[in-house]
Amino acid sequence: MNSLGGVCVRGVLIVGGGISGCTAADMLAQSHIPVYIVDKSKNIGGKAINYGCKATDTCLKCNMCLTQDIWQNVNDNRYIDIMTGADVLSCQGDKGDYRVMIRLEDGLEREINVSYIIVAIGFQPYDLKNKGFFGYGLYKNVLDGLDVEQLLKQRTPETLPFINPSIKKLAFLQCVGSRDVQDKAPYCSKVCCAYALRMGQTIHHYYPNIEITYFYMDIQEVGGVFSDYYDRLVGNGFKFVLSRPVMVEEAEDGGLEVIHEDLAKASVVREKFDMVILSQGIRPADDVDYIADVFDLGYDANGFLKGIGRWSETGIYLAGTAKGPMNIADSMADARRVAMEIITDYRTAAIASGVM
Amino acid sequence: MQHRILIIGNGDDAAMAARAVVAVGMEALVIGEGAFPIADDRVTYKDGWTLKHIEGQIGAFEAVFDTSDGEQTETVSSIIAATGADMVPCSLMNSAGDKAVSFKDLPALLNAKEYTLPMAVVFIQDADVDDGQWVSAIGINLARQVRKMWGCDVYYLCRFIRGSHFEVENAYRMARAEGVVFIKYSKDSLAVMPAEGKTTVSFNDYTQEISIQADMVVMSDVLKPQTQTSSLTQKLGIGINHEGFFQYDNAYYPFTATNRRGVYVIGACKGPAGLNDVSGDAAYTALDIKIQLDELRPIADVIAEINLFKCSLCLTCLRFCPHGALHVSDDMPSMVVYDMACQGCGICGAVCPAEAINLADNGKALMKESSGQKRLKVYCCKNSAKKALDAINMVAQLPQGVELAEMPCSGSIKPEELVNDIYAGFQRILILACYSDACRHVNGNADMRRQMKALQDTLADMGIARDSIVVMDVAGPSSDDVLEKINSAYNAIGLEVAL
Ligand SMILES: Cc1cc2nc3c(=O)[nH]c(=O)nc-3n(C[C@H](O)[C@H](O)[C@H](O)COP(=O)(O)OP(=O)(O)OC[C@H]3O[C@@H](n4cnc5c(N)ncnc54)[C@H](O)[C@@H]3O)c2cc1C
Ligand code: SF4
Ligand code: SF4
Ligand code: SF4
Ligand code: SF4
Repeated sequence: MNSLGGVCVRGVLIVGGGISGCTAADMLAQSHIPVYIVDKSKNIGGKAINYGCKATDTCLKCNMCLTQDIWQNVNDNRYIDIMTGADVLSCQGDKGDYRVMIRLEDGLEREINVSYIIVAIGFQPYDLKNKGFFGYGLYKNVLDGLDVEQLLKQRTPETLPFINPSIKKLAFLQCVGSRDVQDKAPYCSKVCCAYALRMGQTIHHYYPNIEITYFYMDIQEVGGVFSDYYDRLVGNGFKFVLSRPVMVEEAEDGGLEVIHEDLAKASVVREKFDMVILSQGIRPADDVDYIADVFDLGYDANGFLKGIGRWSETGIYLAGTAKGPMNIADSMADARRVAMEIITDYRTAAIASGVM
Repeated sequence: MQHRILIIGNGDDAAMAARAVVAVGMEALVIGEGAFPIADDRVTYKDGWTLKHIEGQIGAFEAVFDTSDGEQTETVSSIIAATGADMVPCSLMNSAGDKAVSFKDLPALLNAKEYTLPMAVVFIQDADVDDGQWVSAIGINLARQVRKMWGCDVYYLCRFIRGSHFEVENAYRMARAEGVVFIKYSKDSLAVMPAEGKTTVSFNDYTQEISIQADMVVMSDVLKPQTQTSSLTQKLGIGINHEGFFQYDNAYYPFTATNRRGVYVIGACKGPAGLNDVSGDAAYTALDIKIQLDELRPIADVIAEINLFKCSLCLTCLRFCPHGALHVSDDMPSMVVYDMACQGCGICGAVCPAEAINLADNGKALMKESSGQKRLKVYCCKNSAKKALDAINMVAQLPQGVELAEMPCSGSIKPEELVNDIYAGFQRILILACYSDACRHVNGNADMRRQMKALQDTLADMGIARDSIVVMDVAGPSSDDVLEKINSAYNAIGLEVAL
């Protein structure tokens, strides 16, 4: 609690310390506003802290460079109190005076008193168990986007750890768990085209002889003028197949077969690959219901969190992918906007109470 | 204090910027040509004013304008460029004959009272380019309107639905339910030709050749940079990308802030990507400006210092500074630094021939001193290599004889320092810099590469091997890569690495 001349202007609780939560925390701390971050994981950073660089000869703008300052600024910051392995239990009070009960990693409980709350619990990657027919977890050369991100982090000047000489043909399957009405996700996850196209280029940079195919329905924003980008990829030898595969099976020789409809032949074909990467999409965080209940929040049409009432009146804000699919840059911009609204309000309150 | 923000442009984007500026309690000075839609006490519109140049820094820019009453100067706290872009017809419009309409002109036809209803209307979303989700957002909504108002057959040809916004995805689903026929065509297969009062649209839909006789063909427009964009970038000292739109193609500039603190760009003037959420960007920008102005602080811990007595006003530093942070003093024959604009990159210090700038040297903190024989000296850019090494405390894992120094930007390295290192006994010097297009200081790393090439040539003339100086690209998230690169440079000296 920051006691300014007798009038209390309390700090901000941030639930979720991914890039969204940490970006907001960094910005608030720079304005000397006390921040508490509660994250249920062992470490802060969320998904993005484990992503690797995708540069080839040049940067491919995966946004990870933007995150590096944030992680450093948030750790060891005297305005930021980080509680990892912790859960929020309850929240009482009103804007300007919330009392939130937190269960700490060691099982003890702690009550904190804050003026504002930012819910930044992020997203859950699509659970590939729901699409068992793609063989994830069954065949070792079927990877998902997060696996590849994490492996890219271990790149060295000569190698990518997940590529071995037996891999000559590689397929990306787009829209896995997105744009799928039957699977309760009628929306586009926004990030998977961009990350998959970047990953393809990184792999191509190291191993130009690997043949890379994308099975897609539509391709979304990658940055820059897309047609130039697309033409360059086709120039690299990338193949784009307009088709939504139905299954991945192991071939007799141990390779993989992607079963899909070939539009031109109007028939289902089996095409052989050595590795398949599933571009999994973004789903609401696994705790949305619990968090919606604790903080009195609602849902949008796709099950992501949505506020009830105006932020400025409740003092409870949402930031980043807790609200819906976003990439890192957009999550950061969103979190900064929320932090800036709070800073403005906080300053006004401080001035009104004569302490600033 | 009342902050006044200069907004350049008088179109929709500029109007959104002006509203956002007013919403956070600041005033706007808007310049443009023709009418401006906002009448508000806090918004001053100057019709016919054009920007001549700016001086100063965030909090107090002096903007000089050409006006019909001659030159005018105004002081503004920040600047937003929102000049929009030109919508030009796509290249197929010419060959399509008089049955072709652009996305831009269709609403007028839909509103016209008398019109012979067409039987078949073909939309072509991406004949020229397919960039930005705005294309699908506009196209699909127009197709739905045509279907609803004219009740005719509507075919929507596209290569990709750009539907990453949920509303677009939703509109796409509704349009299909309402009977709009969506067809994906393969690139290069498309041809549009006038034929007997109709227009023939032929293409391959990945299964076969198809041709449709259309009464009307509606094609997307193409977004092009405005002619004034490039001269404005020079006046404002900010970046431009390959396509000629505002903003550098650089990992550090994805938002509306530019390389010059206090100068922002929003909307279509940033190209198709800028169109995605203009009102959100405007709100964000206005808040960002306000927060900074309310408590104006330098952004760098260490900023450049110029020795007035040494400066010979050669203007070299002025040309190299990526952040518009230098200017010629009004009252002394010397260059001076804008304290709120300087980002402490040290590039000016590396290029000043008179050694009048102090920062590059203090900026190079020693991270690890070489123990024993001096073998390898590594300069680590603070924005990439330093972060990668810090992330898993890798400094401890490095072999003997390696010395590490941290620099604010690889562009801050002076060739003389490296020569000194070589004289001090280092057998090799490794510069770990960011990838191109990921330099926080825009050109710092490209300038350094040029300087190093020249230095290698000089060394070669002196009989010193060129590869005594090695430059490698690294990124903050790739710790293993950075460690391997240091080890490989070390190994190449011809010694075993003792980890
Ligand atoms: C495979 C894949 C690759 C991607 N690649 C890129 C890329 O290259 N570039 C890019 O820009 N974007 C990429 N993205 C998108 C990127 O991951 C997100 O934009 C980003 O991680 C969003 O950050 P966030 O903080 O909103 O959420 P998260 O990263 O999900 O962070 C949420 C945090 O909240 C915590 N939390 C959750 N529930 C609770 C709770 N109940 N209580 C307390 N804490 C809680 C979590 O532990 C976590 O730390 C990718 C996404 C995927 C799936
Ligand atoms: S690809 Fe990503 S991590 Fe690599 S340099 Fe570019 S932005 Fe940084
Ligand atoms: S971003 Fe691409 S892969 Fe992801 S859901 Fe959207 S269209 Fe599919
Ligand atoms: S240190 Fe960098 S930003 Fe500052 S004046 Fe020198 S070149 Fe410009
Ligand atoms: S480069 Fe050096 S001498 Fe030349 S103007 Fe700048 S400070 Fe003065």
